[in-house]
Amino acid sequence: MKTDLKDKTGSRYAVLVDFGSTYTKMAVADRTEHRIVATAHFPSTVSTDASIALSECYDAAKKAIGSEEFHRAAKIASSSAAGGLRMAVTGLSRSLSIQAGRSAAFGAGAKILRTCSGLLSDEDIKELTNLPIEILLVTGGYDHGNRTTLLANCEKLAASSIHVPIVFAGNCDIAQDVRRMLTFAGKEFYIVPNILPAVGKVNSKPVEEIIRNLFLSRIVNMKGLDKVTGLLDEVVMPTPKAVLSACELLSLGPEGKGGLGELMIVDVGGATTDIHSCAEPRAYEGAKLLGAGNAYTQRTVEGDLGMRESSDTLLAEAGPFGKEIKAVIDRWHENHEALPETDLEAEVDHYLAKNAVRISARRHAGRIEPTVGSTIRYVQYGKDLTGVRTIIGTGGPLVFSGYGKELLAEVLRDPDREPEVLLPAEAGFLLDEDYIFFAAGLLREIDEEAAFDILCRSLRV
Amino acid sequence: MQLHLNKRFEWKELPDMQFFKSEIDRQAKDITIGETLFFKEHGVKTEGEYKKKAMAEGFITKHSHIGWNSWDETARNLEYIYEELTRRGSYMSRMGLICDWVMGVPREYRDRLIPGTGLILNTPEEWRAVGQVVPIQPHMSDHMLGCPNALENVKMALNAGVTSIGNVSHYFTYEYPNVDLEYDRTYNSVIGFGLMGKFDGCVIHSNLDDGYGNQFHDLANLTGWTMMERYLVETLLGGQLSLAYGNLFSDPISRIVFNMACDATNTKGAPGTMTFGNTIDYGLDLSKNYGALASFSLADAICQVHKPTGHAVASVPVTEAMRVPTPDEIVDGHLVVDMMIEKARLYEPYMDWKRIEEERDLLVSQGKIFFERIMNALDDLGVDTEHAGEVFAAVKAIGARQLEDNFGVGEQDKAALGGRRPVRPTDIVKTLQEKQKQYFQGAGDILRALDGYRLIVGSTDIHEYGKDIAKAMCLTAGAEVFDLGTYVTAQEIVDNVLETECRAIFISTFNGVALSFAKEVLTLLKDQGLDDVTLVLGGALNENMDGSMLAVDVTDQLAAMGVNVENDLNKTVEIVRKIYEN
Repeated sequence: MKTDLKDKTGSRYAVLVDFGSTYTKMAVADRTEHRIVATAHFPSTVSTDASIALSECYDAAKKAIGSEEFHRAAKIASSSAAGGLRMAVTGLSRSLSIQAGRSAAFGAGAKILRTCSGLLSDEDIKELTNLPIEILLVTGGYDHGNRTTLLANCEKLAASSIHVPIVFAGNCDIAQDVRRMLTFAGKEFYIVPNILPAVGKVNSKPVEEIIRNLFLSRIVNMKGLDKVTGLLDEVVMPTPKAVLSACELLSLGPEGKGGLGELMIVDVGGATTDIHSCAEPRAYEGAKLLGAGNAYTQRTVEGDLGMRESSDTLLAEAGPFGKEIKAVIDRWHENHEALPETDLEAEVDHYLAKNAVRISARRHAGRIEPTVGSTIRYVQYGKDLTGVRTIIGTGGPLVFSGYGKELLAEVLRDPDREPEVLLPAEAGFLLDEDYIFFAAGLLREIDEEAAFDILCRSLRV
Repeated sequence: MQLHLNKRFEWKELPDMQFFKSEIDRQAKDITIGETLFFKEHGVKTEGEYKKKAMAEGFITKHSHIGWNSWDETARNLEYIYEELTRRGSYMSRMGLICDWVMGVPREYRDRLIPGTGLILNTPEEWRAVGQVVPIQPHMSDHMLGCPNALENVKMALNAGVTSIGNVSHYFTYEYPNVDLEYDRTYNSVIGFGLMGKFDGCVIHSNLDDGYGNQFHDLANLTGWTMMERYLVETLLGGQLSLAYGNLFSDPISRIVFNMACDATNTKGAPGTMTFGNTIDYGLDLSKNYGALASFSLADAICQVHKPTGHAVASVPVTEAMRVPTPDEIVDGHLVVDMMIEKARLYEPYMDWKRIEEERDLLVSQGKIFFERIMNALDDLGVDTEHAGEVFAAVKAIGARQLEDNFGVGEQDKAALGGRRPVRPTDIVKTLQEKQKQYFQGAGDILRALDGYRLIVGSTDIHEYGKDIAKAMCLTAGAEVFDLGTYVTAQEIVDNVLETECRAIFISTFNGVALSFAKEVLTLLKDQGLDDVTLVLGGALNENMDGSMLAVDVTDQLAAMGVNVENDLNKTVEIVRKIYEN
């Protein structure tokens, strides 16, 4: 029977589960010894009955720590099943409301399938209707700011056949109008405080909270986890959120203890490449910071830069390979689990991985641009990551390729060739060979110190 | 309350205070305070020792700033000034050597800055010579302490016999474009301030007007800020702090009151360095400038007669607003000040000191509230308030505006400059309030004239008073105003137009970029299809063309591009109304 997680905070072990699309993974953490005592993974059964794979994980856990300790252990799970948490974001300006909305969605662990700016076109509405999104976030306008575009967009959304929850986090002046429109249209919607209430202010917490709330109360069940919630103490978050939480812990350290400082995590996957960064938001060499501000911990997901499902778009972005490789790309598309079997396939994989790292890091990092004001020479968009000195690789292509460091080095900038890019010019590299970040992020919910030590032990040079 | 921290580095990465203290002790052993000609002449080891003697004897010291950029010229002129003052029965006790900003950064970074007009000491010989030309005691404040090169500077200065060194306030406001060394700046300054505290009679100087003093609107908050600087430098680092002010103090009585408010918390008895001359009243009319010189120096002398704090009375040459003064003009200023000091003694029996002390007590009591609120906020932010480096970095990351807006003691009032009604406005604010009153009167009945209208205001440089007046008028008229602050960029403006749906953009500009800035704004507006938005430019509508230092007027070109160039604050409300009604 499900118990409150608080009742389990004194337990010696924590059973940490991730419901992924392909595998249901499990790690058992010993909170006294601060180490992982067992790991296991079984093919996911989320689309039929998630409890089958979970029972297999639990059997492995019981074998490792015994039934009695297993019973006492905290059982916490994250989920990235069925494509993870998928969202779309609409806003007005790229650097302000859209940036704030995207950061909040990424921070809540979502993948963003579409971003729309300004007045929504019919094409936008069509796309939003057809895409498999689960939450639509509407941002824009400071409080007492833009009304016209926002009202027009909400009218269009009300008239559309979009049927996912809509979160409105824009100009509070029109909240009542939005409520009326969306209620009459029979939409499920939530109105939260403006994510951009005034010039220079960002309030992303309410947005992140409602996303988490929706994820736990509705989306988790839709993704086939309704049958297992009774077997867990808590499904706490989408897996990327757990990874982001672990990333932050590794950087800052538990309370009263130092962490690794500013760092980046690169996760190259089949469908996406995710970059996480932990760094103090600051202006690079006196540049003026523009945009909606940056958080210490940030995450971006590049849906067009994956090694399998999105290998065609990655290749298009990377530039010509120099040899005919259509057959290879076709195979990657057909079989997402395929591994290279020929020299050419290995070469293509290496090329794709290098470019996935290089391009996604540059999209994630801030940049400076010259401006005409005579006192301010540069403006800065995004985050200055030049001070990052640790880059961690996770995900199969980085960890198992044997070229992990070489691939991670693609993050580094060449200050002469790309002075505008705010990435580090030098850094140390680590690899997450045990795929431990999700587990540490979950464990952090009840035990920061153990989670931190486990993270530090698992990373290898 | 939500504070936006402009955190320049991770202050928790600074060494702990134990480390700093042992480092200060270690480095202090290598320092021997040099003997200047002035020390020799007066038989003292530091300026602090001399000041205390002077205060006890009722002698009022005098100060001048010296700003030639080569050491040879500086030395030659000093000899002339000293001889001429002596010949005419006058004196100069101390001189402020204005160092160039390149001195503020370590040598390896100096090529990133364009040298200005200040003094650059290149060799150890030049450093040693600063106190050996004439028996006038050198004081060094600009780009010394509080900057990235603080540690080297303070050691060189102490070895040369300079025992009053600044500037605490510069840590918070002076920037070195293209050189971002905030960690080094904090590290070196903490040790530098600590080193000063190791030698009796050495005084750490802070010109408040160069720091947050020129950003606060309320003297009560500025008084609270002096407590913060004292806490940092004296309580945490063991130094003795001299609080200097005056550049922006036009009202002679507020100079006296503020001196006494600063002195009320001077528990270590640190002698003052000097009170700066009031330069906001200086203009191009030399006769009026003589009046301003007489006004502030008389007030400063009256203050020193009543309660000596050691602050030297500064003489500001009447030509200072026009050019780098000549040696003769410096001498001329001192002769005026001599007369003011002589007559100041006659005022003492008739001054209403009780009233002045009541004003002082008000500033101190309200200042304490401001100080305590900041300390509580730092605590809430997880800042170790016993760690000087953390506190320095944290209050800088918060910034003067947020400090005053969030923790200030004045009553909130959205039409007031800065959004708060000051307990006692600074002179700058008083002047602006007066101007604002005039503009409001000139604008006629504006109440509700802009109900439902929105506008963006901003400034392309540091000047924000024109922008603030336009903002206050429009707020009073009922408009919704989005203030983008200073140093706004074209892209920022256009992004904010998208978020606000404003049709009027009011931008103040004084930095010679009016034409190129307007072109960029208009291009970006057009790209976004925002053709119904009007750019209103005010201030100095000029541009430095083809790299020339001389800006040419571009009003006609701007007007031809469709920019509103009426450049008349009185018409602010009318301009907005017309934009919306067209």
